[in-house]
Parts: sequence; C-alpha cells; structure tokens
Amino acid sequence: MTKDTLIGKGLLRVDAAEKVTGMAEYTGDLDLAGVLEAEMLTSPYAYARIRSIDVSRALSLDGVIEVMTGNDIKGLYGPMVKDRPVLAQGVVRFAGEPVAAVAATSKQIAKRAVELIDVQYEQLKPVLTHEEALSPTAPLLHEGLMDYEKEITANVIAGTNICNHFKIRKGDVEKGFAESDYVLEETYEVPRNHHVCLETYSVIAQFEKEGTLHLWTCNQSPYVLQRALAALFNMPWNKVRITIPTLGGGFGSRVYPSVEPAIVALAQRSGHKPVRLTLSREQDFYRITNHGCTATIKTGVRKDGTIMARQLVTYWDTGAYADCGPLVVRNSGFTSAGPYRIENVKIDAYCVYTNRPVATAFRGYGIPHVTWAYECHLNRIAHELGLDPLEIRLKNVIQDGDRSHTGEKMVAVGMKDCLEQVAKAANWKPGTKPAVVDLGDGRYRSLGLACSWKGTMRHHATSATVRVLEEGSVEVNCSNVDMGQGSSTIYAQIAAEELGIPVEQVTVRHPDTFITPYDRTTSASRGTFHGGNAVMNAARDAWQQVAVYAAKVFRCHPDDVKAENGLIIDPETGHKYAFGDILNKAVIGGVDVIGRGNSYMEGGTGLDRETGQGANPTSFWMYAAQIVDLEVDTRTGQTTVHKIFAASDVGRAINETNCVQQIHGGVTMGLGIALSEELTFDDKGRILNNNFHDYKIQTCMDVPPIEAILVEVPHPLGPYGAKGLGEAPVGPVAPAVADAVANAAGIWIRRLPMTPERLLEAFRKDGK
Amino acid sequence: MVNKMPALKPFLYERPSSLEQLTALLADHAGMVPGYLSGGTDLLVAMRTGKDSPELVVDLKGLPNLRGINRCEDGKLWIGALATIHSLEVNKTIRSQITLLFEAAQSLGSWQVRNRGTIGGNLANGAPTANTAAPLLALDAEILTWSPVGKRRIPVASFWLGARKTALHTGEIITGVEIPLKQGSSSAYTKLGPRKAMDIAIASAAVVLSLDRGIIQEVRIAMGGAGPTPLRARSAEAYLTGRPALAENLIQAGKLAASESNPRTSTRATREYRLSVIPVLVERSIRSALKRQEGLVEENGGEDR
Amino acid sequence: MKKTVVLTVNDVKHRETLLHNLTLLEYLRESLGLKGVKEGCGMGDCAACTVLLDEIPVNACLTLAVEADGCRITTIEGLCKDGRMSELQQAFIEHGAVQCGYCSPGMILTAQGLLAENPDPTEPDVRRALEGNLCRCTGYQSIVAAVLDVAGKRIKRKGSWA
Repeated sequence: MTKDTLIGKGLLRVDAAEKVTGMAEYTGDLDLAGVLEAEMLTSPYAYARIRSIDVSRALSLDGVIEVMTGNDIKGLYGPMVKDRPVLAQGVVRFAGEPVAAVAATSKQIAKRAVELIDVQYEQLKPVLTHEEALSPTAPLLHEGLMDYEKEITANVIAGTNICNHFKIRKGDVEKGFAESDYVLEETYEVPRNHHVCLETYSVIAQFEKEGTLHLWTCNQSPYVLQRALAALFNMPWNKVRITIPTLGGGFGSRVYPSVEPAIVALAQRSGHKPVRLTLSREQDFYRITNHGCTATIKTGVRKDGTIMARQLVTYWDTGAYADCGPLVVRNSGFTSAGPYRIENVKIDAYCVYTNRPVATAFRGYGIPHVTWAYECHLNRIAHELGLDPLEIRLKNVIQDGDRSHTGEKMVAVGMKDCLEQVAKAANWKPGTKPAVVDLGDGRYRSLGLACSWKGTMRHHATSATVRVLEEGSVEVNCSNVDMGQGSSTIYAQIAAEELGIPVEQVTVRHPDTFITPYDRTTSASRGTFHGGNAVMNAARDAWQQVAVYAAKVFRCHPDDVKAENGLIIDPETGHKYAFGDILNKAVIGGVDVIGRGNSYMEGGTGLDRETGQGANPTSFWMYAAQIVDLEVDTRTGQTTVHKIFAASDVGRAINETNCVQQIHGGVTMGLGIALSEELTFDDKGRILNNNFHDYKIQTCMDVPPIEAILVEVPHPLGPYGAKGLGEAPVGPVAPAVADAVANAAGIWIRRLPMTPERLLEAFRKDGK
Repeated sequence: MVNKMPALKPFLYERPSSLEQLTALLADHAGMVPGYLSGGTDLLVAMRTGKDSPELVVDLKGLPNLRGINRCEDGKLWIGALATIHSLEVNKTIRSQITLLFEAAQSLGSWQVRNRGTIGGNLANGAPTANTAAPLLALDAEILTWSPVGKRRIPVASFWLGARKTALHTGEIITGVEIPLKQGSSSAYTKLGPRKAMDIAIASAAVVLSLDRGIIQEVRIAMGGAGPTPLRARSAEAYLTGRPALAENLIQAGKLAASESNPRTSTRATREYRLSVIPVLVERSIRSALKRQEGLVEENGGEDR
Repeated sequence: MKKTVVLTVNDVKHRETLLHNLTLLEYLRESLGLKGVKEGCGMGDCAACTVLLDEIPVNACLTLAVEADGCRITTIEGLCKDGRMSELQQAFIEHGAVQCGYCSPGMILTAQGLLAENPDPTEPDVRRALEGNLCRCTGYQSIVAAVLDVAGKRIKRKGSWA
C-alpha cells in the first residue's frame, strides 16, 4: 500500500500562515459598507418584573436608527427548551439579560442611546443557587415550562425549576453497598467558569436581496444557527445564510444562538443595512458561562478495592434559560460513574434553573465536573484502603467487552493503556504510593493521578463535498468549524491522502450554509471522527469519478488507476499525467468532479428515560489519564506545578502535532479550572470578576512543561482509526492536582478552584 | 469605517513641554481636575471602565527632566517620575543595590505594562498594593513633587493618607523619587498572588536590613495590602534590631508585623487570609535579605563574580 | 477635539489629524485597516493588541494615538518584508505555536521586542517577557519553544560568521 503516507505526520497547519501575518479575518475584522453598530441594554437585576420601558429619548437621539424591546419581537428560542425570549418580555431572569437593543450610526451613539432608555423594574428576590431553586417555596422561574416546545432530552418536572432529570438505574446499589467492606459518601463542588475565547463575540446581520438573511458570526455551529433563526423569523432554511469567518476560540461557548436573534431583529428593521454587535470583554463574560455543579457521590468497595456500587446525585446550575443544559446533564450523566466496571449504578442528575447568567457547553460538556467528583472520591477511597491510586484504577478500569453503565458493549477501550503509559512516563509503579519530598519551610512535593472518559454524541450527520478542479487543485467543503482545534488541517490531509495529491493543493473552505453542506455541530470532539469520515468518503467518491475518467482514457479498469504526488498513473505504462490532462481528455471541454460524503452511521440509540439504558448512545469514547507533579506551600496555600504527564487515547493520530496541541491546551484549561478560575457573583447575581485581571486564566509563568502521550487504540469506525480528543484532557487535571496535594500535605479538597486561600484554610482546619 | 470608535469619552489632550506651560495650562483650565497621563496603564483603564472621566488629560511625557535614573552627589539615587517600571528592572544599580525594587518592578503586571507604566504613576495611583510602594517605604525614600505653588519633598512615610488618598494636591505632580543608598544593606520583596504573573498583590512585604556579625543592625519592614495604605511594621523592626538573625526571631517579627496590620476583605482575598500570609511574607523577605547579606560578605571578601 | 500628529506605521509615514480620545488600537485597526492588531480586553490584561512602539512592545489599547506622535509603530503586518515572513512568524508555524491565532500577532511582536532587547534569552526570560500575553489554546509550550528556536538559530549564525 502506498496509501496512508500523509496520515500520522505532524503536518503544519494550513491556516497558520494567515494567522501569523495578521491576514486571517475574524468576524470583528470584517468591514461592511454602511454597517450600523448595535448595543444592548441589559438588566442590572437578576430577577425583576419590567413595569415600563420608555425608549423615546433614545429614539430621538441623532444617529439612532432603531430601538427595540421585547414588545417588538415575539417568539422563544433555545436548543433543548424553547424558553428564551429575544429580548426580555415583562420579566428579567438574570443580571445581564438583554432588555432592549439599539442600532445606530456609531458605537458611541448606540451606547449613549442605551443610557437614555428608561426601564422601571419591580425587583424580585433572585434565586441564585440550585438549593434555593429546589426549595418548596422557590418561585417558578418559568411558569410556562410545561407548555414550552422542547426536545425529548429535556425530562422536565412539572411544578419545579428542574428542566431535566436524567437517570441511570443499573443493578441494585443498595445490595452493592450491603456487600461492600467500605462505603464512602462525599459531596464535591465545581463553581461556574468561563470559556475565555481570546476573541470576544461578534456578529453582523444583513438582509440582502430576495429576503436573504446573511449572518456573519463567530459561532461554531452554523447549521444550528440557520435552523434556529429560520424558525424564529419564519423563514425557509435556504434563505438563511450563515458565514463563519476565522474563529478566535470556541470551547463550547459558541454552539447555540445567543445574541444573534436580537441582531437579526435589528437588521430586519434597518432596511438592507448590516448591523454589527461586538461585545466588550466585560459583556462577553455575561453572554454565556459554564455550569456550576454539586455532586454527592457514594461508593461501596471491597477491601481489595473492587467497586461494588456507585450512586451519584448531581445538581447543575444552568442559569436563567436552559440552552443546552439538559443535554449537558444527560451526556455527562451517563458517564458520571467513571470509566470503571461497576455492576450497580444509580445516577440522578438534575438540571436546575436559577437567576444566573445562562450556562452552556464547555470543553468537556460536564465531564470535568463529574470527573472532579468521581476521581477525587476514588483517590480518597484508595487512601482509606491503603491502596495506591494507580492500583485501584487498574483493578476496576473498563475494558474491551465490558458493558458500560448504559449497557453498551465497549470496544477499542484505551483507558487501561492510558493509565499504564502515563504511569510509565512518570515512573509511578503500581502498588507504590508516590513519595513526598519535604522541601523545607512548609513546602512539600508529590505526585497525583486521575483519569477520565467522555462520550461524544450520537451518530449525527456531517456531510462534506470534495471538488476536484480540472487542473488538479482541490476544494473541501465541510461545515465543521475550525475554531483553533485544527480541523481544516485534518480535512486537507485526508483529502490529499485519498486523492494522492500534496496537501498544498487542497483548500478547505470556511463554513457557509450557502456553500458548505450540513453538519450537526462542531462540538463533542466530533470533528475528526465525523467531519473526517465525511471528507474521507467525499474524497473517495471524487477519486472514483476521477478513476472512471482515467480508466476511459487509459482503457483499463478504474480500480487499477492510482495517483501519487498529484499525478495520475497509467497502470499499463507507468506514465504519469496531470489531473487536467486526464479530465480534459475524458470530457471534451473539461469538467470538475464533485465527490460527496457523509458520516452518518446506523445503529445509534437513545437512552431510556427511566433506566438510562441504551446500547449505543455515543459514536465513540475518549480516554485520558494524567499525573501531576507539584509542590504545595502549606504556609501560604500556593501551589507550583512542576510537570504534567498527560496520556490520551486518540484512536490513531492523523496529525501528531494537532493531537499534542489539543492535549497541551486542554490540560492548561484544566489547570486553570483546578487552581485559579472561578466566576464570582455578588448577592444580586452580578458577576464580580468579568475581566482578565480578576478572572484568572493561566499565564505562561503558571503552566509547567506538559508531556503529551498519544495512546493509539484504533477505533473501528473512525477515519483511519482516528477519533476525537479535544475535550478529554480537561477533566483529569483538577483531581490529579488534588491527589498530589493530598499526597504531599494530607488534605482533601472538595471544592474548586484550589486557590491559595482555599488551600490554606484547609491546612488550618487540618491543624497543619 | 470609523464608526466603531472611540471607546473613550471625549476629553481635551494637552502635552506641555515645560513646567511653565503646565502652569499656564492649569490656570487656563482652573476648576478642572486634570487627569495626568504618564504610562496610561492605570488612567486609561479607569477611563475605559468609567471609574474616572477627566475632561482634561495632561500628558506629562513632554516635560523635561523627569526621566532617568541617576546617582546624586549625596549618595542617593534619583529616579525620575517618568522612569518606566521596565527601566527599573534593567538598571544595574537597582539590580545590585536595591534588589527589592528590582523584584517589585519585575513582578509588576506584564512586560507591556512595565514598558509604559512609570514609577510616578504607580505611586500617584495611591494603591496600598502598588508594587513600588512598600519597597520605597522600606527604603525611606523621598518623593519629590512640583505644583504651580512650588516644589516639595515628601517623605514616603507621610505620602499615603488613606485608601487611594495621597498627599498630592490637585494639580501637583511627582517629579521623582530619591532613595538613600546605604553600603552594607541588603533587601528583598515578596509578593503573593494567586498566579505566578499578572496579579495585583494580595499582600506583599519589603525588607531592607543590615547585619553585623550575625546581629541585625538596622531593619525596615514595609507591607502592602496590610491596610488602607502601605504600612511600616515598626514593632517588628524594633524587635529585630540588635537581635541575632535566628529563625525564631524571624518568626516573631512576622507575628508582630501581622499584629500591626489591619487588612480588609476584598474580592481578591479575605482579611483573614491576608493576616495569615503577612507573617510568612515578612519572615521570608527577611530571610531572603539575610541570604543576600551572605552574598555581600562574599563580595566584600573579594570574590569576583 | 483633534490634534495633528505624524506616525510612522510599518515604515510608512502618516500625517493625521486625530481625535484626542482615539486609542492607538482604534487608529491602527479602523483608520489604517491593520486588523492584525487584535483587541482582547481593552484594559491591558491580555496583550493581544501588542504593537512595537519605537521597537518596544506596548498595549495599543492603553496608548492614545496622539501619544504616539513622532513614533515608529510596527504591527504584525509590518513583519513581512518583501512578501516574506519573519523568522519568528515561520517558527510559530513550524512549532505548532498557532491554534485559534487570536493571540499570535501580539505574541510574535512581544517576542520580536524581546529578541531585540535580549538576543540570547533563557526560557525563564522568554516566559517573563510573554507573561502578559494570554493564550487559551496552546498551553504556551510551543510558543516558548518557537521563540527560543529563533534565538538559538540567530546566535548560531552569528557564531559561524564570526
């Protein structure tokens, strides 16, 4: 086989040159003639009735084109539950909720107009935590919950603030606990975080000729947006054009519509002028956030460490509107007993409305939250049993042929390989507890371990087309968005591989719903698996067509035609021809070839609403294991991370560099969540730290060397055996850090982040 | 094309090139509180967030004789108000003889901020956690000022009046800082933040001391984030003076320093946490300064490094 | 209120009458169309808008355009000479130091400033110089490696010429 030559190579990114020269165009960089600037008036209160809105002073300001309130635009939107108005209607449910929108000839005028809008509120007592929201006396934040249109995923509970209750019932946990030698129950907490895309959100909407809506946005899922906007504005899908320029990060914060509907509504009223909204950093923090989660976990084990039963009850603060919260809760829910063989599992996960900003997908889709709980918990159990964290994992880890907690028969499971390889890299031998080094002056150094698994989504469709232009250059069209993870490079590589041409001959188009075909979402680390399969199939389809033409010219069988380095080889003579020579000879006047591909696979299943059982809820699983080497200062609570060993099962590395980048980035994000990142709120539900000096992501002074270990357990359905990996490295970091802190200094942390202040408090309580 | 901007509200920008021009400018705009612009790393942030909105912004960078770092005849080091924080970092005298100011400069914000931000601005801002504040307090520096009514020398100890309140009058500018250079003294600055970079200090400790045959001769300790202003830990200083540089004495000094602090709870840290770490920072700063005394001994011993 | 100033941007002299309250970031992006200058926070906390002001890295968001009167300014667009990328730009590509790319211009310009001041930086020197340049994608390791690689190659070259 001469095939496979491009697969596995660390080829350079196809979009890097435009990015390092400043030529890449992000949404905020676009210049559209006559563009109007938008600004939003947002609620200062987390929960209030709107008594009146007076926009007359704003409207009379020179340069103001349009002022809109909830009275001007009806309709609700939301991916799981249609619960969200475009602009608040009579009630505001979180501080920062858009109440009015302005379009003006300049940003300055739009801002001034917003200041001139007079809103009279009647303040209500906000519900700021899941505990408050679940109390019997809590107000129902959505009285119309039962009447909203909703997806089947959203198992809402009437008369409550719960917009999804996800369950797993497998075996009999009570029996399992009874048969255990040791049972431990603990509660773990993860606060709200923020995605922190370096590019703040930006969107431009314009109604073009023939009633076409054209939207340029830094969203990561154009087709989700197309359909949501079409529904909201009552338009046929083929009149809604979503164009995605270069994205400055995504991390889950850009999958579903957020500010787009309001800007479209403004554009609808602004003639054919484009309307643009670019959020400031402070505003961007309010647009969308990560979920907060409280998890109570109970596990029964035998003396030898065998897990007999596990029960989890998790509460997710999803904020004022459901967004994809119900799906986050479900998709993390079915993994939340961890990557272990457990006969008796009971999961109850509740997605709860509160008067906080809306929470959405975040790199890992809830898995980092549950990983924090189940991995810290397992390390604690290991400690109590006198086992080492590696040993207890190797004993219970899920493997090929085992049944998952939903009843899925597992294949191509790389979990054990990840654990073994990361342990080898860090020189951690099973059965030996990591050593503690006393560095003096209250400083101690040790290692910590954790692992995680994550499903992707169901077998949702992604399509691609590959166009071979006559002269041999190739265009790949796929709507999976390259938001920095590098999917366009992977697609270029796959197309080049299949067509026998150099990567440089391939151009991957930016997603545009008028050009590039359907893709479900860019999320769940599915780009390489689904987009990759679609591009691979499209390229194969294109090649087959080329081969038929070539066979006609060569008078041979199409199967005998091959291409190499951009030239088609005559099997008879071995002579090499340019694509153009063959295509032009085969079709008088020339022809371009279009190949079509789809990633859709049969056999995906849902999960039973009562038992959570289902044989095939996810296209593939990701596995990651990590070891953290750190030093903790018991006198100040400060930590210094010296090194992180991070193994991820990538199926097969199509591009080694990309895989390493995903691990480095995911680990770094996980480290921020572990040590320094937390959205803080005041008692009115307003974010206190919506800026970069108080919301602390890791700087290059904080991040230690990260040793990325690529574990390759080929997936039978993945392109060349490959699968996704972007999300999985986030989850293990925090529990591995906590384990290292526990091993070094003997304290057990249950709430993130592990700031110096929080660690010092724990040392104090522990009498250290 | 230009309708996206500007983000800042309108103001009048002036860049006087002499103190006479500045005097005239202030007279012409009597009644306006000028926003003085040197590095802009604090002022423009305050203007952008609406915390400050001066109608008149006076750029001091055109004024003569406010730049540079020079040794004076009387053995002091003069630092011009417009000296950037980065220029403190790379100055050889500061690196070798005023280590704590080097450490404070190096750990301030980002390199970009250090390239623009000035020592004058860092002080005029009045923040109790300003990186250069505690070191200058421990160094017994003097702040030199100018206003249309005359020049002043303000001992740092009387520069901070309260939370973000300084002894500067409206219209008065800092022209420079004078630091006494003493042979045989060593120093250290320790700052605590949640990250390893880019943080405003939760608390900090600055120490200058001299040692003779193991006995602490002279010691000055200043703390940032320990109260509404940078504070001297005078009872800790008194306790250490004349005592041997032993671990137990250092610990006791730290405890005394904490007892002299009165920090507040803010979004960045609680009062309790600050009170817990202040003794550690003080103790560790003293220890670092003592270690540098050993270096001094070695240097005096003729070891060429 | 406006002021007439002369700014040399990427070797081109511009005589402009500018609003006093215009930041250098706004001027470069909106008046000159140099969109490689990125705004990440507008408050000097992320350094995405880093430009070289007389060869020194500064936050363009915290600099008024009128303050730069008489100065030379280099943006990422000015690093390509005769259509060829600079060594740092090349190294960022080769080391996989680019993901979403939003921080890349600021990172590269900061690194450029560092190597001008200190041609032989250690890894801690590089990290110290880049500490204010936030990146959410890479974990910084590849960025630091790219900068060190360029420094090393330059020194090697100089050595061989000597």
